Amino acid sequence: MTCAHVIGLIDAGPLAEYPRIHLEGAWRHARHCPTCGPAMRAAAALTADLAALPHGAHPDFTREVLARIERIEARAVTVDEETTASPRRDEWTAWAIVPGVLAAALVTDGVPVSTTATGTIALATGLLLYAVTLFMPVERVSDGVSGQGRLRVHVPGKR
Amino acid sequence: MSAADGDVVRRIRRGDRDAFGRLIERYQGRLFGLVLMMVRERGGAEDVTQEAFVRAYVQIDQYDVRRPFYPWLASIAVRLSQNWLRRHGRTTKREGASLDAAPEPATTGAADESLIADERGRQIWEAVAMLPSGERTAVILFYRDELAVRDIATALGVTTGTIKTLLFRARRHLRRHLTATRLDREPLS
Repeated sequence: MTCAHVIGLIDAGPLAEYPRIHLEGAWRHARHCPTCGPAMRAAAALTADLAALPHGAHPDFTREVLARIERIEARAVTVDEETTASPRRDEWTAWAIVPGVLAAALVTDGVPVSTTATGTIALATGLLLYAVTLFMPVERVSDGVSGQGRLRVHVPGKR
Repeated sequence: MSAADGDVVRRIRRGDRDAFGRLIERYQGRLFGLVLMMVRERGGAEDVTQEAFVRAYVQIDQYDVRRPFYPWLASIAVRLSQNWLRRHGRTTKREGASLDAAPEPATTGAADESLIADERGRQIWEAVAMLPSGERTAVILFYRDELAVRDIATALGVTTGTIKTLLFRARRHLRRHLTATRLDREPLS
């Protein structure tokens, strides 16, 4: 058993994978060896010192982390509500397209749209509805309780 | 995982955010010390440690209650620390799953004054701080945090053989360094 081998076992520490008898022989050698002895004592001291390495503590840490989590959850609720609102707006837009497309089809296909006032009014109404629902702002109004929202078309000049 | 941790996790999953505060109180010291040793900057360590707990809360449903809690938490913190080191140019290459065993560019290994009062403890801390990051991380998790090799390997995403190699090298480096600086005296308390 050489000193190099014994020091290798010392450095392996608790992870040395040798039979117990082999290790006991190594430690017996180290206790009486001027080279291995100091290495074994240094390794023992090192193990104890590493176990005693400090932890850290920050007085307000817990409060800060919980506050941060709370902010994240609040943002998540807002994003969820906005995501819920947008499909409704998409539905409005989809339906608004229908009269506009019909009106456009009638005109471009040269269909003899009635030149009467009724026909003209119907065509104009379809186009107007299309334009209005595309560009009029839609806002979400919270009911203030459940956090759920409902849509309301904002009419300028009216609260 | 302790029964107490299991109870807390179950409460958290039912929406009890304040219950998570108990886990923070229980593990913040250990985790902060680990992160501080990895990033070696107090401000960065505080940010990373906070982020680790936040991520753990957000991902609490992914945690396996049959496994110990701290290794799972530590794995999150290790990844965040490695990301922090890369963002701040403290590594020359991506450490990834192989854990860097090469010396890093010289950065301060000065011990945090508020953590260590005595000179010997500070010198031990600084000796560990000078190790390559993989060895440093393994040493903290094995010797200070008393994690099993298997749990460390899982937390760091490497094999148990890699962890054993890192620990062997670390002990050798530290023993030689401390012997050379004549610190092989009686251990700390």
